[in-house]
Amino acid sequence: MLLIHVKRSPVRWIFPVALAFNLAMLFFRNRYWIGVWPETSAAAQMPAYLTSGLAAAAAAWSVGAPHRHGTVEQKLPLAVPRWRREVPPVATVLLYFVLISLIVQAIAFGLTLRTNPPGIELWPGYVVMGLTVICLAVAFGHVVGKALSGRFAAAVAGLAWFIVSMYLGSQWDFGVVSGPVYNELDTLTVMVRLLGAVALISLAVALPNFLARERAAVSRRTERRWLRPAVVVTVAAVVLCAVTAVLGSPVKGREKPAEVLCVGVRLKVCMWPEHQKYQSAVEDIVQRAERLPAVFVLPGRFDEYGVSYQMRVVDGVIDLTDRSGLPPYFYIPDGSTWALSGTVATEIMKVSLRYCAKAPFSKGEQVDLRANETEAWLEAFLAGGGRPDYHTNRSGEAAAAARRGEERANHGSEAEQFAWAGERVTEYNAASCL
Amino acid sequence: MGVALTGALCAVLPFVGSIMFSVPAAGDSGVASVPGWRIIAAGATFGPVLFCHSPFGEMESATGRNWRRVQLGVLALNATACSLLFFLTSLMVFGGPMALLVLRGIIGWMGTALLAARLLGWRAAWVGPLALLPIMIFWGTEGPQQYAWWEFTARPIDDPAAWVTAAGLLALGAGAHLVDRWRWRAAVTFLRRRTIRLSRRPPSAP
Repeated sequence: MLLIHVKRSPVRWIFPVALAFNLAMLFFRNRYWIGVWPETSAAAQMPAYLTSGLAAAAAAWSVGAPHRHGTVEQKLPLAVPRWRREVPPVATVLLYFVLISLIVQAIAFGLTLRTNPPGIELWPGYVVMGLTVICLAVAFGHVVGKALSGRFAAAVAGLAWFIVSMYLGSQWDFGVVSGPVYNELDTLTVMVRLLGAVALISLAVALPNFLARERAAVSRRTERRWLRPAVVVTVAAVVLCAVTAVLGSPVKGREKPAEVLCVGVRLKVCMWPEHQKYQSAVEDIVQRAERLPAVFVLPGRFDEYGVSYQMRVVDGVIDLTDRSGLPPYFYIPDGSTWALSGTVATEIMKVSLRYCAKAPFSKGEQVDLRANETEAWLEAFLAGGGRPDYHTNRSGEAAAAARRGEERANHGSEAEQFAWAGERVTEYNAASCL
Repeated sequence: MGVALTGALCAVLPFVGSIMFSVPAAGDSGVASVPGWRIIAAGATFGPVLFCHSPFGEMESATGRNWRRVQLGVLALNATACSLLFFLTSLMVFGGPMALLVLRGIIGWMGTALLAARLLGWRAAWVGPLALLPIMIFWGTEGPQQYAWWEFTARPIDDPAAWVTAAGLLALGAGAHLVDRWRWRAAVTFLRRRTIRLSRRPPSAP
């Protein structure tokens, strides 16, 4: 029966389109996820989250098939229980959309497997997360399809699920936009959520028809036969939803790693071992920093966020743990090494420049602007030249100074740049505070 | 029925319209912040277009000019009423400039729904807006408050390209319904005769 539905379901026309759409979302966003396990599965989970609206609409559409074909009356006296008639179409929609998600995950998995970095244990959580969203969408669509069963069912289910899923994603972490290495998914929570979603599909199937036309035609005996399983499924779904709510978000900050990946001698930069693909880029930045003239003081050590410090949220309040004694931290957001060079540049400037200790904390507008220009040069120099891969809200003279600094890093020999930068630092330190 | 569905969406608008949702996007930051009204506006077009569905669709497609005229008239009336209802609700909830953005969105979505209705049938008209919505959010967002030129739901109100895109979609959707099989056949026959006549024209004297 299921095979007949799989072969005949209109979802088979949606399947190639939705698969192409999912793959396009995976590859035409960014590629930094290739080579980092949690980022890989999070990136492959994301299309499922965005296209789950189609799954909800398809579920609503398929449950309304008897109404579309005008066979409601013919199906009512059938000896086969209603739930057995409803399971194949809902299972078909589920199968097609789960298949899409698994294909996308398999392709992403294959690309990261080529380098096989550490951290493969972080991969399955996001896969389960994506499947949970699909199950929830199908359950939602099935209920809406049963409630409306008219021409508006699929449209309402798709649009409403789009809003509901975005709310669940934003507020309850049912979907994530990325999988940074300093986070992990709690296995128990994601599995309970998946079970809860499957239970909700069962509940959606077990629910009696809301439409008066069908309800009136069903005998009391048939309804009573449904009472016990319906109650069991309802209780199971309610319990699982309650447990899900108690467990909270599955996204948790990881414990400090036992082993870290460190590069450099005078300037030591330590990061998560899962980020080994950035090792050579970070080594380049460290080597450039170690070549800087003596006026630039190197802070000693930098840690990637989470390696030695991670912000904790306790009962909805950020736990501002004392960070004294810990090295400064940096991120590699979206695979950007500019974030590291920016952090290193800021920290080097902090220890190299003698800032004013008293208000107004300024040595004059022009002197401060020249310091900004030097910092922008340092950031661009450490990054290896080019233009920053991020946008800032700087404007006016501050933006112009930063632009001049970046341009200087792209012109002239290294010796000339060092001479210019050394002069700038000396000049700033010699200037007096206002 | 169509107006009732739009009325239900209008009732939801004050509660969901201002909520900002974080959604994955292809832009620099990888995330788009999408207000609820941009999503609900896509649904405002469902009512009037889906209302045109009829179980007698196949028989109706064989009817003459008068029936089609009535059907398109009802669609135009319904669409205008629903758009006006949604626009006025937005005007009350968000104010003038935002309501105009909503109106531009409805114009574009209406065209998309009409196009999908022409290609897939009235009943599947929702496929157009529901398929375009994730594309608009995902690829239309280029950065914080920066959108692709064709993103007709979020670009500034004075952006001509966004208005042209929305109007173009509406024209495309409405135009698709003017091309019925008889008109198409007439056009093909006309072009074929013209081509034959041109090919038979004797060569001009040197």
